[in-house]
Amino acid sequence: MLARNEIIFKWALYALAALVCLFVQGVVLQRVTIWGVIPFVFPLVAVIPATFEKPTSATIFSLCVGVVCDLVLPGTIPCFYTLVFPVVGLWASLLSQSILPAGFLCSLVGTALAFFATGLFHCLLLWAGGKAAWGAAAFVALREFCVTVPLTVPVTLLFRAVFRKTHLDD
Amino acid sequence: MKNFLKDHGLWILFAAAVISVALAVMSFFSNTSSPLANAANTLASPFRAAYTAVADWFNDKQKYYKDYTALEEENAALRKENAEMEETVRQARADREENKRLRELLNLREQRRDITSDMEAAYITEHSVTNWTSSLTLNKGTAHGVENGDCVIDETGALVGIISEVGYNWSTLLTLVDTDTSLGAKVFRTDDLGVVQGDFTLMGGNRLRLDYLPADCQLLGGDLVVTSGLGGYYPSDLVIGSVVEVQMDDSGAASYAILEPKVDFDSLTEVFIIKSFDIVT
Repeated sequence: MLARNEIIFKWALYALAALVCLFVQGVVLQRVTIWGVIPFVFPLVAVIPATFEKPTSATIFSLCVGVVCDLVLPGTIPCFYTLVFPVVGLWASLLSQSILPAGFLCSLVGTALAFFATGLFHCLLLWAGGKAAWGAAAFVALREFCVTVPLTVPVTLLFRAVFRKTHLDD
Repeated sequence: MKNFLKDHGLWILFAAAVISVALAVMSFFSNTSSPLANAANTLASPFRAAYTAVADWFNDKQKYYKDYTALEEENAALRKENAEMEETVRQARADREENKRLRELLNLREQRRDITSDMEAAYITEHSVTNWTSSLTLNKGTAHGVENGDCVIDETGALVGIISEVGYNWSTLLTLVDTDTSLGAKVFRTDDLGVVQGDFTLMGGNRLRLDYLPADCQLLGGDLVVTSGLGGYYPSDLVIGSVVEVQMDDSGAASYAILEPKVDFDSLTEVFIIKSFDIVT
């Protein structure tokens, strides 16, 4: 059980690590196009820390990441990531608690889930707007996942370092 | 030695005189050098060649060093001059581009007084940030009078997109190919009306659709499509793009055209926001 100031320190470190990822996205990844898409690190930031935490706190952290994403990214609806990321954060946390221990494989599966959920929600919104493009949207989601998946390694290392720094007794 | 000269001095002098006379007579009657001089110089010739070679070698080395130093200095000066010229060329290119843009804008101002009376120039600070939208972020916002729904054009008067979100000193525009873009359009050649809208399937290839065309519409590849201006939401006759191909929709009852925007969104750096315009009837 962590003391209150330790909890604050832990989440401050998580937030700092998340900011580093967002900075890299804005400064570097934004300017890189591979296979016609931009690597998109935001779902990783919502999912990978969640694999190290309990479902409630993981969901809240992912919700915060979603809010930040909606504030800085243009979207079809203003609360797109605020709706999707808590769900994938919860999935990732449950996955690490019950099926796969937190680590690279768990991050990979969580990332795949995050991109699947994000892509699916995009497809549903396009369909709801009368502009269904299931094939094209699925292809974009697949390419987005493929070009982003190598980033799960550094992002997992980063958040695992934060987790170990803040859970010295575990 | 003293005794020797006393005893034989006269003989020596005599011998010297005889040799001198003999040499003088020989050189007088000979066309070449005297044998003695010839012998002396023949013996000295290899030595002379050797020291000349050594002297030449030193001279060469000295000259090489001087030349090398001079070349190094000249090379440095040329490099500097080259860098300055490259900088000048770069500046000239940038000036030429700016000049071209300004000339086109000047033409546009003369041709389209209805839209250019209240325009705001803006620089693009960020291109598309997600793979699901096609947007540009500009460096002008509410502080400069920019509002949601304002049209954005390039220096030639071609439509870039519509402002979708505005902040104090920034704004985001959705380009023509974004799925949320939809506006009234007109085929310039035939005056047929339709609705231009983004399509996710075409967005990746920077294309958009022209829908709701009349049944008897006869479109040709390359036909220019402009804004219709109907309803007064957007200015009329802003160039959207040209027809690439005409296709039938899924029902087979109506046709739609695929358009290529006139603007290359990736290469845009500066755009112009139309804050207000006169409705031309």
